[in-house]
Amino acid sequence: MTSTLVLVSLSGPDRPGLLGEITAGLADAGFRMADIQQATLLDLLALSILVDVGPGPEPVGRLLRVIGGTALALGLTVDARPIESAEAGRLGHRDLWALTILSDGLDVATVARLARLVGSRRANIVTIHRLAEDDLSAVDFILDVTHTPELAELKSELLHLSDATGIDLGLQPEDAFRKSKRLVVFDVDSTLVDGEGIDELAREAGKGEEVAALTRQAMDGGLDFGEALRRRVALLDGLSVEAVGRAAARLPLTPGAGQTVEILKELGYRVAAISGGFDLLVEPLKQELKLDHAYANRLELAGGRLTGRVLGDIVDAAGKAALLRSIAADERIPLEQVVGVGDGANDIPMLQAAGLGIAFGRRDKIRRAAHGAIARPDLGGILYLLGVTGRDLAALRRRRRA
Amino acid sequence: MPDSRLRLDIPVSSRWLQVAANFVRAAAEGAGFDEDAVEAIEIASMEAVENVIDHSQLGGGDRLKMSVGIDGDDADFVVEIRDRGIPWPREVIAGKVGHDMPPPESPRGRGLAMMRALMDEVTPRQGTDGEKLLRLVKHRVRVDAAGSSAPA
Repeated sequence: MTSTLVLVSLSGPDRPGLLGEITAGLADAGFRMADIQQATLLDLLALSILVDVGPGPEPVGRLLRVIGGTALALGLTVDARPIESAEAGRLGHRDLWALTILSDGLDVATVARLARLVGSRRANIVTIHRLAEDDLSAVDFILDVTHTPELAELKSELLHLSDATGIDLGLQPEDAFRKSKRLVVFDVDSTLVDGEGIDELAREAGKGEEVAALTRQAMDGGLDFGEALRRRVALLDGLSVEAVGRAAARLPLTPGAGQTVEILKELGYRVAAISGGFDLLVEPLKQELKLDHAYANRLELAGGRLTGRVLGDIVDAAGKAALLRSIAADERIPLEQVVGVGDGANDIPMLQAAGLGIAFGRRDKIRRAAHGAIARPDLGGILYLLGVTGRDLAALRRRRRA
Repeated sequence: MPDSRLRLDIPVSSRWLQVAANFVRAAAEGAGFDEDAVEAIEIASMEAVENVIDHSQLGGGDRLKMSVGIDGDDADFVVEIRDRGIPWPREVIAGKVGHDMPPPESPRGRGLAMMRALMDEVTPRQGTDGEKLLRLVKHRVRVDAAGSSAPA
């Protein structure tokens, strides 16, 4: 005869020592604890204990006597639900995903829309955690999607909700790798820096319109990425190294980029940049942000001026994904523990190669291909998607001050 | 006793009758009733639970929810039994039946009459969402230092 499990949920005013009193009663009666979860909000407690009472319904009554007496004396409300073996089997195999919501402050109407949407896809919100330290700008919803027929449809509808409400979100498996990422790889143009390097170089060369026309042609699909790059670089023939330096200096870091990389490094992450742009613009960035790796297209120089040619293989979409894999292999980090962050269609393979791919910006195609989508112009949000909490960030700040 | 409540959610099945009985008994004992009152509460509650199980064969939900607690300032001990089985007949809701024990040849109506004999209040209600409720109330008796008792 299989064991009977009883889910006991206690709620009411919290006070120190309460858990000890409840569990001591269970221990004295010889019950086994199969699972436990507790949350407190202000001074209110919500405690759930899954108790294995042994075979048959008889010991359930004994449990109710033990826990009911103690809990009522403590002013708690107790819900008890015996779970038969068939149901227990179903509960044991839950497919949990973490839905992280970033916003200017999550409002109750958005939570209502989110909860209805999740429910309509037969997903269940299991737990909710506030990640931000003192507001609702970052909240984690842990979803049980065991009975959700198409996770892709749920994600697509969440993106519609993101478009309609301005929230940013991440949806990733709630497993051992969720909070154990070790390598973060950033795209550069319009991701780590707020602008496009080629546009600044073209401006220095006085070829802004011609380069923009080739960029448009490539984006419309009339020209492949490699050919468009070679033709644009050809227009930069003769540009001096000093002019390249001025272009680099005009590219500001994206808001939150410097601080985010600094925190990632402090937390022990390896950090890399992979750019479809140019080494002469990425190298100063590598120095400034103390990046561990940086890769970009190599511009040929002769006599202190660009020759208008690119050296070696072009870093295109496939190249970026290959470089991400190569850095991970060099660092001996499994791809599940790698994060890719980018804004353009040529970042999609790189983001999909990573365990967590984060789309930065508003481009629809990459938002749909990634696990997370951050539209607000601040890279700081990625820390929350990695499971870093506001408390962690405050502790880091205190440590720096000490 | 602080304002708190014990709730039990079990399958509608005779396998769980003993659990329900232990549940109500433990709460009644915890509320300070003497053995006669505890027995009365347990018998009345089990009659209600058995009714739910019997009627479940005619259709309805597969879960039964019981709650016990102390209600309001007058400190009534309240047992509530909820299920989604066949609705209460209109004459039961209207309070037209179930007060006096029916004649022996009558097939129905004994349960409510027995509960009313054992408890101070017995109120059947029908929710608009299909949920059926039976509320059983026992007034608590306060025992003073001299040993005499009075309603709380």
